[in-house]
Amino acid sequence: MINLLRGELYKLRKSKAFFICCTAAVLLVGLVYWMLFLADAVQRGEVANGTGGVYVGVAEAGGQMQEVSGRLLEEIGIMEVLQQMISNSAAIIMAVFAAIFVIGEYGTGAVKNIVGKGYAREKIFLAKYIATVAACLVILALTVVFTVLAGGVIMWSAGIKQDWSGAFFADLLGYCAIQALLGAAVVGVVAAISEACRNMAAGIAIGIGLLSGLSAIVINGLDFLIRWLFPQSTLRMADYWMLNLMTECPLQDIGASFAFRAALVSIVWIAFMAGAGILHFKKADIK
Amino acid sequence: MEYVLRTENVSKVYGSHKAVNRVCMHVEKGAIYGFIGQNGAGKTTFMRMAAGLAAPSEGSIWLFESEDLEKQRVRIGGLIESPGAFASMTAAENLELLRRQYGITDKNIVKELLALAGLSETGKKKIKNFSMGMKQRLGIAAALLRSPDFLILDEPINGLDPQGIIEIRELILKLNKENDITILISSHILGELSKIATHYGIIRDGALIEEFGAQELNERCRRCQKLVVDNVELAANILEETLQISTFDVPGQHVIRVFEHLEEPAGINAALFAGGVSIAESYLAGQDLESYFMERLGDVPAKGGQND
Repeated sequence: MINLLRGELYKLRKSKAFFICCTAAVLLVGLVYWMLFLADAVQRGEVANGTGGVYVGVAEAGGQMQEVSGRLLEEIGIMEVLQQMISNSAAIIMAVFAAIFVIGEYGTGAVKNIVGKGYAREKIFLAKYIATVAACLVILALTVVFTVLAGGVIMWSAGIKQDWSGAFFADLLGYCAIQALLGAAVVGVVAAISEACRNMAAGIAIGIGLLSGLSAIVINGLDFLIRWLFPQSTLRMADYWMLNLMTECPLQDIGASFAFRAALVSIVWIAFMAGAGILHFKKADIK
Repeated sequence: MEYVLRTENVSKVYGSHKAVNRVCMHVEKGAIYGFIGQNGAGKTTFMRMAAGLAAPSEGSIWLFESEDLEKQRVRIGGLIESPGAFASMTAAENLELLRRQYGITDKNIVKELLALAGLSETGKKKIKNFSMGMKQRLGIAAALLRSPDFLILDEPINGLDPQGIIEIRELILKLNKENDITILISSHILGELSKIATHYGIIRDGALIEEFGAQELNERCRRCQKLVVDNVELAANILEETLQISTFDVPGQHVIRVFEHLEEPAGINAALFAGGVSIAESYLAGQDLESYFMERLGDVPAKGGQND
């Protein structure tokens, strides 16, 4: 298993896709901050509204734009940016990378070099699964670090006082830990699906589809079905789906019950998808 | 007899299609086993099952006389269908990756294998820029990484230029003779295969129709005068007594094959006729290996290879 993991680590080091995804995650953070910086400049009258396609205001029903009360950079803090980055762009980048990293092995036929060479198939799959999740967590960590660092610099340059107290870092740590667990579960689902479909286009499409609403429709549909069949039931499937939990995760003062539920959901999904992937991989013919 | 690979009634079914049908193969230790069949005959599917890439639908496989295949497959190297290499890596990087995955501590092995496969000069060239032949060589190098006792090579000379074919042939012979590696090899270039194989297996429509040794093949392809006569005993007597010919055989009830005096077939015909033997057919026969295999594979009628 150690040898297999060493191999996966070597592949990651040589993977162009991994470095491209890391760069994309960082660039997207920069892009969001650039947009906010521009919006702040618009708000302060330094540049005209609409510069660079950035409009600052609240659109009302009649199409009229009203001024936003309070300074944008103060209203939207580092944690809010982080929330947007993790639950949207970072999650999609992680899913895309997971699909590329897993399916690339089949596309090149490289998996043949290791299957049937004395290693149990479950170990081969697990090594790939662990490496994929770990690599995606690196992407997530980069997103977090860059969001916090760039946010700090921008706040400082805009003259906005940022709370760097212990409470901020405690919230940040708790939030990131839960997002990491939930993110690992999302990557686990994509990795297992990618192993099963073994087609790059299909794997990426499924990964993005999963994150961009397909699962929400399915989960909401299930909730509707449960309410229709059992009107007295308080069970909500959405409470147990990691993507919902990722967006619902509070930025501050995360309660123990939410943290426990998120951790439990993540662990169950990670274990379930690992098990399903192993079962499929053990029986699959390698071409 | 010690077998490196032995199978019993191994089949592989995809839906309603039986890709491999009850194959009983015997690969002796030290052999170079040429596996011959048309496209889609089931060669690759069978090799994939032997290498552990696919599970048989039925039947049994023994490797090194053991049924513990997972353990024994450590001793196998394989190049099946295409060399599985990462296109964005160099040859050295691909081998280095496998070295790490296999847990081989000797770091020099990568350089040695690159030299063995003639890829030392490829440097930073990525696999995506390799020719087919270079990829094949890399596949063979990768298959040799764990010093296997048994190599499974599926069309290893595909895409190689004539010089490359010669090099791979010499490499295979060297591995077999000097390293005592048993080799199961499939190829469409039958003439090339016949230069190295010690044993053959012919697969047709998923079924292994025949297994034989190289000596037997040479015997079967031997040039002769074939005669179809009414009285075989009398004909044999005339050949021995009158013409002093001793190298002939009687493969059928009315058939005699004469292996000498082939420069004077008319003389043999005349002597037999004079002795009272009625000759229905007389022709010079004998095949090159390719036409023999084609005949067995069902591409040409049985007499298609005759050279009269």
